[in-house]
Amino acid sequence: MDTAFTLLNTIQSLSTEHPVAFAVSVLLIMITEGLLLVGLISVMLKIFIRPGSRTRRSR
Amino acid sequence: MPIEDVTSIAWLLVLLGFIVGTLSGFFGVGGAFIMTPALNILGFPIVYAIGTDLALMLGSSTVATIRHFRFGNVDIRLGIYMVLGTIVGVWLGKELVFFLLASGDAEMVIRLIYIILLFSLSAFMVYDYITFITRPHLQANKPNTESRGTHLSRRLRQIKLRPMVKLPASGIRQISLWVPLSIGVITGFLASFLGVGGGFIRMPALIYGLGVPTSVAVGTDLFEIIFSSAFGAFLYAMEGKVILLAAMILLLGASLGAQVGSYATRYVRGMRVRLYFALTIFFAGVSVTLKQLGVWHDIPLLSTIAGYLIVGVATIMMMIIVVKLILGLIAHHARGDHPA
Repeated sequence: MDTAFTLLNTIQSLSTEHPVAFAVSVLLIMITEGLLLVGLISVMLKIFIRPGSRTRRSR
Repeated sequence: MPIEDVTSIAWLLVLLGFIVGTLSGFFGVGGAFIMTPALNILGFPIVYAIGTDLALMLGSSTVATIRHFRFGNVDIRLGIYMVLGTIVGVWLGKELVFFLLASGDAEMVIRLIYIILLFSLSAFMVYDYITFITRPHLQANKPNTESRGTHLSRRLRQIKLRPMVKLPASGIRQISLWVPLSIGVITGFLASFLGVGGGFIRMPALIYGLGVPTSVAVGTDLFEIIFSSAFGAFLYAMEGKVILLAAMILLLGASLGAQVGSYATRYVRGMRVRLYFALTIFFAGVSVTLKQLGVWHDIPLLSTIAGYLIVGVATIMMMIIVVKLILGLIAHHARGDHPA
């Protein structure tokens, strides 16, 4: 956790010295986090919801 | 804002992200009109609130677009035409703002137009909904009502100015390329002129101007928000006005909310989505009016009330969407089939 915060602090500190690098990092991080969360939620939906739909399989 | 301050309100940020994400996925808007005042209430200086919200919008619109794409609700071709038109419109809007700034009364004019637009759009959409539910012959043809488009969209489709394009994902057999481009220019112009994301203008423009079904309008609008928010977030980050950790925490809730909102569009009729949207922007109009009155008469309390009002309305709307989704899922399970 501390390592993650240190990394985030380092990226945030880029905003003063290397604004372009910070801006690009923001875009990449937000898109990557979005894609990861879509994948994670899809997997969770498959695990927790699909097995419950027995009706379709029984048909 | 130091990292410790952000982590101390982490759960609030996740909840806020969920509320705005749900509305974003359901209505196809960025949700800046809710998120910016909410972050401001939580202690973010206004410029940081805007910058952080833009970064969040990039992530949440990506999530919601992917979900809508899987449902077949994104017309990528139409989205690209609209983006091209929007770029021109944004530039024109910026030029007009700078011209008005030079003449003096820019801010008051812009705010008044913003308030009038919110109330007019809301009133028109409520009128449209009431007309729909009070005419039995329209209700009898419910499945076809959306595909037939609006009176305006049918007239616009008759324009035969080349090149003509096909937009099958939106149910449009043939339309002049200049129509979606022009709508992009107009909505981009208004968004840039008013200093807002523009999702709340584009969504009704796609429905009433092009006759796009509500669910496709929502998905296509979200697709366009990816580009506009990426551009906005880049500009604010260049100025160091994005708090990355806050945006990342907000996205945790927003990504879940965006999927909930996107799923809910499958269980709520298009006309009902329009009604909820109209009610939300009506209260957004009330909130902006209160805020503006607070500025004009120097009453800070009105600005605070405006912020709480819009967050409260967004919370109630989120609850309605979640309940609709749960009821829809129960009904589907009862029938024995399964969504997506």
